Amino acid sequence: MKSRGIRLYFLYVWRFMREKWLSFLLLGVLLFISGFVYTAIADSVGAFQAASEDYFEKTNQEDFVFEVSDTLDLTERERVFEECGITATSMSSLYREDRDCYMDIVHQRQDRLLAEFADIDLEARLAKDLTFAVEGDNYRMRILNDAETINKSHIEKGEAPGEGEIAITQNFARARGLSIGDTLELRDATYAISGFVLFPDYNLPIIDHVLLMDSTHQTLALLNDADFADFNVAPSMYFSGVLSATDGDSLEAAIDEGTYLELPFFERLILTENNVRSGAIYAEIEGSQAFALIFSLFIAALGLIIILMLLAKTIRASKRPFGVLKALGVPNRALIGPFLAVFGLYGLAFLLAGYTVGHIVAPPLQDLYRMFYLLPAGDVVFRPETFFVAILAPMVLLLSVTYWLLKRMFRLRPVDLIHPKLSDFAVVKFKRMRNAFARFSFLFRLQVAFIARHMGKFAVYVLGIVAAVYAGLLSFSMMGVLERTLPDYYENTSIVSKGYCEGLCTDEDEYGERVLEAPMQINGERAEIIGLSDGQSLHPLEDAAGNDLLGKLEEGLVISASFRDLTGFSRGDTVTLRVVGRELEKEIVDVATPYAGSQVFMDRSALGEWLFDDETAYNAVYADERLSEEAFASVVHVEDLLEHVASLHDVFNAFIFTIIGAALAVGLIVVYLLTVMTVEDHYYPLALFKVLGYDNKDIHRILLGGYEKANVVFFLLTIPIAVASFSFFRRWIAEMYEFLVPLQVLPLHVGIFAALFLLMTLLGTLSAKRRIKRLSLQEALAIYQE
Amino acid sequence: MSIALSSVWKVFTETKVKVEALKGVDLRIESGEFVVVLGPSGSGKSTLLNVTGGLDGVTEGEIRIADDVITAMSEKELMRFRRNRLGFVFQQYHLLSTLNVGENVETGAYGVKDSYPYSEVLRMVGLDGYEKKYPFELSGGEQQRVSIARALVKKPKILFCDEPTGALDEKTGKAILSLLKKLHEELSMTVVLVTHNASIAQIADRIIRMNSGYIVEDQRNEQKVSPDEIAWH
Ligand SMILES: Nc1ncnc2c1ncn2[C@@H]1O[C@H](COP(=O)(O)OP(=O)(O)O)[C@@H](O)[C@H]1O
Ligand SMILES: [Mg+2]
Repeated sequence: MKSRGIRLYFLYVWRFMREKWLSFLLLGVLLFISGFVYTAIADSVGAFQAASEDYFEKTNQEDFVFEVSDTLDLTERERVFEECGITATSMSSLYREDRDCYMDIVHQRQDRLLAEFADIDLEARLAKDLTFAVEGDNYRMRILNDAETINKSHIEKGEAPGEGEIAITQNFARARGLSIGDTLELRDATYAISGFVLFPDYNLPIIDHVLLMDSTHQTLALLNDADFADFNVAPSMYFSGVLSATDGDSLEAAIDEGTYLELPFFERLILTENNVRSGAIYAEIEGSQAFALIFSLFIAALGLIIILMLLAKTIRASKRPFGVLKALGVPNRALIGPFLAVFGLYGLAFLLAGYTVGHIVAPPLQDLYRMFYLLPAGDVVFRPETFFVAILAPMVLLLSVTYWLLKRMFRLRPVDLIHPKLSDFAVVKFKRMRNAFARFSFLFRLQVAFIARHMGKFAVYVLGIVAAVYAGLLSFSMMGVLERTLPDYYENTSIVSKGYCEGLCTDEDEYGERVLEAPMQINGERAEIIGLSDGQSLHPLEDAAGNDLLGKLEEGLVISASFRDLTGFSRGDTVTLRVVGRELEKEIVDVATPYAGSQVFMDRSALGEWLFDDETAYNAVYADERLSEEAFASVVHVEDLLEHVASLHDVFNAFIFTIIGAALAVGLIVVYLLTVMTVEDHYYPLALFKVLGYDNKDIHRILLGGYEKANVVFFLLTIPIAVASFSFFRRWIAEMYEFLVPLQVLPLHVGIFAALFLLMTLLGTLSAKRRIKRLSLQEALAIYQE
Repeated sequence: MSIALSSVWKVFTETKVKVEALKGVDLRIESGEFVVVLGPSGSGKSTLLNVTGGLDGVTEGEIRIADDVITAMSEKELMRFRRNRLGFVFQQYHLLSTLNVGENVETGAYGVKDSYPYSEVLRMVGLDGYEKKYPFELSGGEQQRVSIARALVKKPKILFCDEPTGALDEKTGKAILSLLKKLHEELSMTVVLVTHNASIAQIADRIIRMNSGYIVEDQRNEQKVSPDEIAWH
């Protein structure tokens, strides 16, 4: 009769998997998640990247910008006075008085910048911001005109605006139910929407605040040149630049050397890759790809650990039978081949499923990205590199590790398989270990002994637990990242509205409390200076302990905690404040902890004295009631702002919760599987102790008590590791973009996760024990003895 | 098939103290003999069986089976040789727990062209109708029968048994011995059986006594008895 040969061993492997179906199913889920997450992100981002690169190329996206001051320097003031007969201190006031004179200064600034570097082209970018209403609700708009060479606009749909027309962003239009042909009321004029527009320098619609990037509560807009010029709002201005193709790269050299540009009006140079509004997409692409890769590799690695443990277990259970089979002349290939083939096919099936679903999810995921980003959509196509990383790489890893493990074991001669030797090394190690723990209790020594029996496996166990806990903590730390930024700030204040005057205010303080706000550089770092007076009540200033710091402003600066984290400044440092043509040395006297952002607080009269030689100067009013738009140049309503953040939230949260869910699921699955396997590993001693008459509780304490202690120890150890790595991550982002991502490990979250963790270990132990109970003692002794 | 060992040494050096398990063993076993190797624990019986069956190499000396010098074979050649010619039965049954009896027997026929039908070999070992049962449903004696069937299914020329009754009680042990005797006669195989139990030796054609790595006595068994008659202890 002809034997089925190798097919029989396939049957054997299949039965083995069927017996451990839950473990294998969960393993499959891990592989699925790994393939899915990677493919979904890589394919959507990849499509996005291809489309964006074309778009940036076509529209000639800026490589960098020079931000310049609104304040005119002394030579500019003289020139304005001589040429135009006007006394002006700021660009915006000049704009209102004399457009030609304003443009003259713009050109002069441009020439002065161009004179510094041989290899750049510049174009002035003017932006007019306003608040407008759609069906009674207020939204923000930034109006741009069409650029000549750098940052050309891109009409996604419809037409470029003619006279009396406007193009806005599609995201905003969709969210507000606007379509082409509808009209918008801006100030006193009415414009018809001619089309939907994108600007390469605004792939995030950041107008007021770097964290307000929601494209449904604010829009960019394009007017034709005549309408733009007529539009009666003083613009903000910066210079967009590109590196020209000449070989002289003096700008890059200057950046590399950190050369400081000594032009009084110059504020700072931002490279596009570090500029959130225009370059965030680059980091998004890189970050998403890195995240996808790390996350899926991480999961695949956890999967691998589990495969290793499952395999080691089968091998151990079938070591002797295989030894006999080898004696009878069955070749290694018959034993190894089926394992490789079945595991390979099984893994492939789940990875392929993950890949396929990921590929299907990629277009909607791209749409989700496009709820943030103002970028053209790309086509999700088959990308060989995604397929390779999502499937081939984990498969190669899986198969080679499986092969290595099987080979290592079946390399042994049949005699050694049938009668495994107790290695001397293990015995010696074991003894040394026991001596080291001699002064501990007997129970503890027993527990250590049971862990020391399989140090390799214990190492894998610890690795798995640490990885799982890390994944869990990371997912929790991302919760509420957004709430911890702006909303937190305003929650600490009693401000309802902030009204900003054109230039300095005159008698607007009838509406609220005087404040002087000014952007400036502090030791080269950008900061938002807020001049508060001791008597004001709407903007409290407190340290972590709740002590009032308002009184301390007379002595020096109070900085926000996040500014401290961003810059590394600390209490007692003396720093230099710098605006156009003026410098001031001040000491940092304290840190106000509730606030996130780059706020630096200063005594209002000192600030006014320094900037305007007028200690009563103020340019804004904080009020505890809703201010009227009429009385001010612009008004910010805290409520609207928060709503704006909240809507950003929904998208962001959908995103984060998906990741949190996946990471948490992975972590918990791993904890469960490791627990089950560890308990099963102890079948033999468990049965033995039972035969010896120990009761279940003692057995549990002896065999698993050590693992339980290890769980606690490594759970606790992972917390500082996680905290440290998150803070590293925070600093990294801060250096790149000058804002803090407040990842936070909250005790409450640690508690919740600990409870879930405990639950999984309990479930794991329970399920493993149930299986043990079904096993007769003799059988356990026979099968699992070593 | 005959077996010939000349000056076979087996020295274990991996351990802290060097162990000389076989010290220049010379031995010839003729085709069709039923030989029992008898000796106290640690005398080198298992080692002798392992090297003779090609499960382990020798330190010195030569072993021939029929015309083949198995001590000169590569691992691969040895494996093929064992597959086609040799059967093994050990004290522990070592069946695969997730395969049923028929399938466990089938594992022994891997890559062999001429094997017994599984039902027939099961009938030969007295397990007619057990094909679909799983190892955990069987008694120790029945499991040992399955392991014998697994060794026999490929029609080996030589059957090596290392303490095949070591884990069994008297009644079952005797039944297994009867089975081995019966199969030896019916299939005209060479059987080499290793035991420390002197009473078992009485069933052999020839008894080889070992002590600390030497063959100390080698004689025909003049008072051969049937397995049912031996005094078991
Ligand atoms: N793999 C091995 N490594 C080291 N020593 C061994 C090994 N196998 C057997 N021995 C030693 O060789 C001697 C003979 O063992 P063995 O052949 O198993 O004896 P028996 O089967 O007669 O009880 C014993 O002293 C034993 O300890
Ligand atoms: Mg022995």
